[in-house]
Amino acid sequence: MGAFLIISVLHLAYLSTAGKARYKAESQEVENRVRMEDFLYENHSAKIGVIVGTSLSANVHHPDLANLSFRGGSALTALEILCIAEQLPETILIEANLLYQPVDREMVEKFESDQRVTFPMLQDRYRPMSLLLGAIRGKSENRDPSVNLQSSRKLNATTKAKKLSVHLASAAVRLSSKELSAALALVQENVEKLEGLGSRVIFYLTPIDAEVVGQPRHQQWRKSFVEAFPNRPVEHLAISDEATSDGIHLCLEGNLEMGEQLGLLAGIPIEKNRGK
Amino acid sequence: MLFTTIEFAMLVAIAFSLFYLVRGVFAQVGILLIASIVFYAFSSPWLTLLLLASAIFTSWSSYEINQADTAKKRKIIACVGVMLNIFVLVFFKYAGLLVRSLEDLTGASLSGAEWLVMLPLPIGISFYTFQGISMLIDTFRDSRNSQQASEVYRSGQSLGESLYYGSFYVIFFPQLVAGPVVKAKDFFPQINVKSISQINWRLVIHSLVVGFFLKLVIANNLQNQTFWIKYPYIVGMSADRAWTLLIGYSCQIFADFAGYSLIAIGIAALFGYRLPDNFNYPYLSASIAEFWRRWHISLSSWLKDYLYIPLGGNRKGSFRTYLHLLIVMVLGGLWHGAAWSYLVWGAYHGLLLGVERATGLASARKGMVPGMLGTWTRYVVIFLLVSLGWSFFKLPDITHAGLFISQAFTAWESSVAQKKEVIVVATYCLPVLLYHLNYKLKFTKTRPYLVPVAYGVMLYAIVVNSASADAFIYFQF
Repeated sequence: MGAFLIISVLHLAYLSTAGKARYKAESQEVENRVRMEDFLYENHSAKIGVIVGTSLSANVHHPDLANLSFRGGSALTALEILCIAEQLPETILIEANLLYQPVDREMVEKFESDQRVTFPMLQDRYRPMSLLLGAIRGKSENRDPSVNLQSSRKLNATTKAKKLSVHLASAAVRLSSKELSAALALVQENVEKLEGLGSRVIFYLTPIDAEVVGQPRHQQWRKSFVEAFPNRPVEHLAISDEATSDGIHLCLEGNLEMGEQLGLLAGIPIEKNRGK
Repeated sequence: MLFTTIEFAMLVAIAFSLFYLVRGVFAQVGILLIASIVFYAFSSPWLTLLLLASAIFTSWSSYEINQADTAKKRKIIACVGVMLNIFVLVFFKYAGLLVRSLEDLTGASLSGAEWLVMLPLPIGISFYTFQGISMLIDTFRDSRNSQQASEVYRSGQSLGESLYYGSFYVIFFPQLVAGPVVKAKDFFPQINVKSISQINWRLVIHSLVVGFFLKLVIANNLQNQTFWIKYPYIVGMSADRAWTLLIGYSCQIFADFAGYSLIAIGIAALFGYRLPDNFNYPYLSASIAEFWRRWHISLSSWLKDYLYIPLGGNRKGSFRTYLHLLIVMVLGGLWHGAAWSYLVWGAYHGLLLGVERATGLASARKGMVPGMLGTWTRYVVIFLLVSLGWSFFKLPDITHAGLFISQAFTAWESSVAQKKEVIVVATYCLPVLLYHLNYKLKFTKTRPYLVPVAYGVMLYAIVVNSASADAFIYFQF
């Protein structure tokens, strides 16, 4: 018990000095929670909007938009957590491509509890591994994402073909009616809550390869979404470089353009973006 | 129900309280029976019926073996009981694999047999059927020697008692779904009245703290790194990245399984039952033979007692010895999962054992590199050989495993292993290394003040650096 208490004190002491500014997520899963913690527990009122999506939008950067896109995760998870946030930005941009992916209930429960606020060492950005990586790297990547932008490179055709085949195979299977209706209901519920709290909600689609769009699951989802929300337009982002590394993830140039386009959707003119 | 959930903690707390409140072995065992049924039914309510049916049938067969008046009858009952256990295991676990393989081989669609592919895999079936077989065989062996008191059955035990205690042995919840595989002759003598003063608290605390640390901090966090050993991410993976992740996976699978086994041992100890140790610092093995004396000890001991030795062991000449080794390892590999890659993994170890035996490497102590350097070189070589074999665990599709292994040996382009990934994997592997080194160099034995420090560090890491609770790797077996 003594050792436990001493380590807790040392941990808190480090956090109150250099630690809070120096952290780096060790994995995709941790990075998702760190993004959410940065948004919820730091002052993000300066941000005009927030992007909510999956890995398709995770590499997008805009100085006036917070990015709560979860790699390997679901946009619905972020929406559920946003509904309990104390402060919401004016505009919430929701990536609609994969909005049917199930919610990570465990993650939502973690953020519903106040423990992370009361005990900051329970936050993922302050876990020992995050602090160790941050100390080694010297700077938190989340403080300056434009510098550490993880971009999907343009890979060679053979590698892309293999990765694309996996996406095609998974998108060949239609959603069950139960999965479909549950996802649509959750979207409806969360969007109504967020709009009730004063935010403007905009749906958008990231460009993905035509082969993937033509697959049964994507066709089923898009049709069902339009039928469920007939009065909600879904913005198709106008991006000149739609090349993907694997059929669904845009390459660097596409991500940069997407940032600008999302900024425009949120009402931020391009002149304000340029040079940032 | 996972060991790392609130529901499990509540179940143990309630069972513990009631267990020491009631009087008599019958009542105590009854509490544990109910707890075991609740534990299993929580995630698989319908398959609990299969579990109970298997336990009751096996217990009844054991009783009949004991009651049979001729050796021939005892043998027949034992054989039928064992074969039925094997049938249940094969039916639920391997029928789908056989159907899919036949379809691939013939190109025909066996649409009438699709339901076999859709069969649910009962959690822990590999473990509880093996325990059932152990009970049958140990009872049969006891019955052959009427001069000696049975280790499995008490004299004068009724059918009802046999069903009761036999079912308890099969479904006892700490080891029900992922072992250790406990032999009947080691468990039955322990079934008696327990009191709270008999609890080995040192064992309980050590097992639970180290077990949860290995599982929640090491295994679960490493899982987030080794996730990338998966198709199509392995396509184009560099060799150094492949080896980094593979070594990470070696540590992950050890931490996951050893962690689980320790938790099972700790929980069982709370109720006064001693489960066998399942891991004895396996990555400090100077040969593959030694590795199998240190890794999943309960399974390798089971295979030796109930398969290798009955086949003839090493008493039927060289050729038969190698054949028996290969059979045992192949079946042992296949036991781990319904995929041909597990068979390949078993055959890989069988071949290594055969080569060691043929060349005398398993017992070589001097020769190539003498002294401490030689010993540590052997540890590293065996660790790397074992790690390579884990590729077949992580990638059940043989073509993917083959691709990954070829990348590990050929893709030595300029290093593209991310520095962050190397640091994270190395940091989480470090406790596994220290755990093994401590056994060899005896840090904590010579410096006992380090023990509470180590527990404090582990407890703190469990609180602040755990990763999401996830099924134990061996649950799928």
